[in-house]
Amino acid sequence: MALGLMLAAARATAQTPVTTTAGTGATTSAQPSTNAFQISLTKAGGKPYLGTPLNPTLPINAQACNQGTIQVELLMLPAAYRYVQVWEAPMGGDCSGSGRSVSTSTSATSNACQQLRPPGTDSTGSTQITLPADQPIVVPIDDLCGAQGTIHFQGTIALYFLLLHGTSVTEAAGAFSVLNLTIATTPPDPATNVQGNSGETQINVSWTRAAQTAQYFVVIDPTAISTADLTIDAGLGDTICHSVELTEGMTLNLDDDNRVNLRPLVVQDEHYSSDGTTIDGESLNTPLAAFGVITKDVAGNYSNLSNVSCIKVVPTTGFWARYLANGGDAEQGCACSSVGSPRSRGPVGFLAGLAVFGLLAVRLRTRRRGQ
Amino acid sequence: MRRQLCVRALAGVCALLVSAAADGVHAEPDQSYTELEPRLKPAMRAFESPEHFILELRGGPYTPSIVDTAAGNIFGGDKGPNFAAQLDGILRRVPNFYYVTLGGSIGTLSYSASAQSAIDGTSVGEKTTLSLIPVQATAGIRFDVLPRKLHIPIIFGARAGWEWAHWSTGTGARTDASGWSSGPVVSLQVALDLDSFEPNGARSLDEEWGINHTYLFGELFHFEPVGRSLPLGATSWLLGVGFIF
Repeated sequence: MALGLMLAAARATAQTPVTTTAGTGATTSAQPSTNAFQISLTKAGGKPYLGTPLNPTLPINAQACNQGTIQVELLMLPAAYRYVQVWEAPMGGDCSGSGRSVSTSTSATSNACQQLRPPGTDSTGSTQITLPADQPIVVPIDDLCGAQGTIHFQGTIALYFLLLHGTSVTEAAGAFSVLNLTIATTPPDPATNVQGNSGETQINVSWTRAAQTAQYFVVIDPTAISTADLTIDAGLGDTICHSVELTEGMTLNLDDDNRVNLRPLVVQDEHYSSDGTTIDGESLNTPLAAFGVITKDVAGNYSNLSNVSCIKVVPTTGFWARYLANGGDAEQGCACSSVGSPRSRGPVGFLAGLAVFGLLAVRLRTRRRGQ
Repeated sequence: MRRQLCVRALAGVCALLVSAAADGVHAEPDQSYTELEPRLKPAMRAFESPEHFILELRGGPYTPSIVDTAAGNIFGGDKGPNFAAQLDGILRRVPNFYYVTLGGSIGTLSYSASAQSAIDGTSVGEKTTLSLIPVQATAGIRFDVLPRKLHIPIIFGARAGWEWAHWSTGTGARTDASGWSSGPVVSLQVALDLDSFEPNGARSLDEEWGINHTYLFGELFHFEPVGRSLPLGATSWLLGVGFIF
């Protein structure tokens, strides 16, 4: 995805008049420029931001949080300002005024504004604007997400992008825009009651859906051994195989392409809001395989692995094999020996004739109407 | 002088007659005039658009003879169902008496069951299927003299022709075999003429859509594959709805 993918453009919100302190120290009364510039979230967690265009509330998921940054672009910046500061308002506070640096509480759930310091900023956390180009800014979100593996905050956070004349943290913004980010890092529940089956080219597997999940990934271990560990596997409801690689509740990190970087595991397919799928047993090149299911929610968070079940790959026969075994000798292909179809490739000739007949009938009808 | 007056009077009468005739040719009666004249009311005017085609949509159970054999009983008496559409062109129409038609139909039906392990013959989760696409070319005749002449809403029809049934069978994602079964097909049809119950609705349908007649029908048919065709023949029945337009 191109770096410049314009997603989640957030318009500057309307604000009340504030007092702006100019870089010279002179205090003047001014109206902050509403909609003075746009914000475009282009990358989340170091990856291209794959979200719904113009949806500023697409959640920041655990993967993005773990990578620690988001990248935004400030578009159509007015020329009157020299610096940008980024402030966080966790609970919907206003960080555009001169009092933003005065914390009212040290609690993480307070209404206080906290400054975020993108790489390359000066000691005041200000980024110098290089005009006329649009301004790309890498915003650290570690503080928003909390330490990796922990749940810090779930909900909407407002990021204020302030345009300033100087670098003071007490200068009221002359123009600003707000990007509302939703932090949603809680993993979804895994699927339950995962069950395998036996077959050859279309082996049915099923599971019970988990709440609020959007996608399901079947992770297969083709190296499962045929001797089940009855102390482990029987407790999981399966006694026909045992997997060393897969265990219920384990965390598997899928990559950008929803593949798992852990050989010999393979992700067979992805399925949307389903409660089962089929697996091509021939492609596994094994008579026995273990599998589990990972779910993914709309924010892109992955669940832990479901219970592990097994599939047996066995050669199968169907109607045709039975027909031949019972002396059937029907001719395949065009049944050329049949009366009435002397190498005529089925009803092709008939269909062509029917089409001609239809055209003639339509023409006749048109002519009659003309009369 | 008197003669001149007679000539002028005659000329005046002729002019009036010509004028009246011209009015009769060009004048379009307005709505009020139409309502005052019962013979001009729509229901009193004969109206029927040309009839060229018959379209039938039909469905019903179908169990080919192969399903009742040792090979086919894997499908456990699966009855399809069979859905098809038939389009006939009207070759000859004797109004209020009969139609002679020529046309064809295409349908679809499939059978499915659990496949079996090649090792021990036990059922597995995988499916084995038999899918059919029957195509027919038929000539037919249908008599609508009863509803048109005697107000008995029953129509009788019959068709005979040839069927090519494309079949395909597979197990799981694998296609095991496919081919064509062909042979004669005949059918008898009894239809309920809907026009008889709602003539005004039938007329509206004809005026607005060009659909002359509609009917519900039941059909008994037999397909008999010949040669080395897969034995897909059977005698079965269908229900459907038909439109003549």
